[in-house]
Amino acid sequence: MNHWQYIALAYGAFAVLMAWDFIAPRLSLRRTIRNIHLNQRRKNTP
Amino acid sequence: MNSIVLWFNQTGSPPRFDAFAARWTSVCFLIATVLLAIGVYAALAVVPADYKQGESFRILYIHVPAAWMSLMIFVIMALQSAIALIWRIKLCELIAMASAPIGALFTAVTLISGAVWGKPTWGTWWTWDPRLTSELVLLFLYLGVIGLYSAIDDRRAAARAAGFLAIIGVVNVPIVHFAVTWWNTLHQGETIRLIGPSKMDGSMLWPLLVLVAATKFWYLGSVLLRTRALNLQQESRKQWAIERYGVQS
Amino acid sequence: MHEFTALLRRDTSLMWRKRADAAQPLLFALMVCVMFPLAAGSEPARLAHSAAAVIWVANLLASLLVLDNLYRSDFEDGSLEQLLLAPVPLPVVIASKVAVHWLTTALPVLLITPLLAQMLFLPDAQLPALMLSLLVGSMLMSLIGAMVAALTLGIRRSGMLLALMALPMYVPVLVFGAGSVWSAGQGLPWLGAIWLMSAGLALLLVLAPWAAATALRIALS
Repeated sequence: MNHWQYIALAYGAFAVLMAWDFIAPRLSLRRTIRNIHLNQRRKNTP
Repeated sequence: MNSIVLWFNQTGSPPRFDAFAARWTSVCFLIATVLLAIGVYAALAVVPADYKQGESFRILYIHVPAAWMSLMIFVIMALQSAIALIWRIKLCELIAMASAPIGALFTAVTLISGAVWGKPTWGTWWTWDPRLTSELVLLFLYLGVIGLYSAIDDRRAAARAAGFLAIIGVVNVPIVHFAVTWWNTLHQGETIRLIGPSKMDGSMLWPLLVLVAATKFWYLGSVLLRTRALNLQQESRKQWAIERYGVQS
Repeated sequence: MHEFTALLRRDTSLMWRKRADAAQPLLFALMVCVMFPLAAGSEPARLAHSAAAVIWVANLLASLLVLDNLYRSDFEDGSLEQLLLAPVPLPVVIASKVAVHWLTTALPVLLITPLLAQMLFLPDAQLPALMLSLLVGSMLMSLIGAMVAALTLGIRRSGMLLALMALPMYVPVLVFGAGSVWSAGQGLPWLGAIWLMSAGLALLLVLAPWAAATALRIALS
């Protein structure tokens, strides 16, 4: 492997992990808001 | 009560914090992304190659900011946990627990980038020297905090227990930092100092500083977002949450 | 002071009733030291090379194995909560538990260490360093374990999590302890590491019961 391939590996791992940190909490937040939504709908329909 | 204390008091309330985080998360991420773009571009294309190590030293621009963040976040986590345990402030518990995965992530980046840098430069992916080993121990400490937090059902008791673990574990942070001075290791000594002249030339230093700032803003954005998520999870049955996120139209 | 002896007597008699459990670490260490030569081949030279490390790791893992027992039985029958309410300071209660725990689980392994050393062909020059480092190290591990085990009390089947939490804290003990034996093997000065560990022990003898008490209150709140 030449040096640029190592650089790509390192920067790539960095990008993947940062992407995970970007996406995971947003998914969790979306799920929580959806739960609030659904719970309220369940309570409103008798 | 002076205005700063008042601000802290008000923002600590769950609904206020939710609004605060919702607004500032995007700002922090935007700044972080811009700085990241500038820093990474400079690190890869602008900075000249090192005369001894060649191109692979560019990995330093990822490795060093990530390493500093892995240490800083653990200290913040321990501090927030201590505040939460002493004054029983719920938001500080949440900030501490939200910081743990971010810190683990930066520690993983540090270890991976270090290994990838080590192979072409010193011929080995890994060595069991004190700095690398204590950084690996730091990763296990993060995972322990995350694991303990998720294993206890009562969320507040879980945050207190995991926070206490973080406080005990913060002892490892000075060990990581001083490992290069206390032992003779493969890892190089201090090149960049906060006080006094650094051994790195200015033309190579500035992208590093840009990326250090970028990771700090990224942490701020991410911790605000994750704390907001944790906060909302725990408050999802409260009136304010239902009013704000309930039936939209 | 006489509260401490009363607690010691209580914990000892409780331990005595479950003395089969107390034999677990002993058997575990023995098993590791039997399995290792079977796996690595029985050349004395090769075994001697890693004997100290194997014995140290066996000790460490055995200590992890029984960590949960420290508070578990008192927690399950409710007496731990009673002890929390007792007029005795909680750190004293914990100190008594840790003392009995160490005497019944770590000391036996320490006593058979010369036997294990013979099984693995440990060079004679390394034996004093091994015994001394294990003496101090096992006490350190019991004290550190006391702090960490308190945090997982409320969790069912917390064995693996407890190990994950305790292991990073054990690493410095292992590095300095096993390192001192390695230095002794090289003919280098090795007492320095032991002194360092002893300093840590002096600190933890005071801090760990207090920290464990705080952790217990957190876990049981």
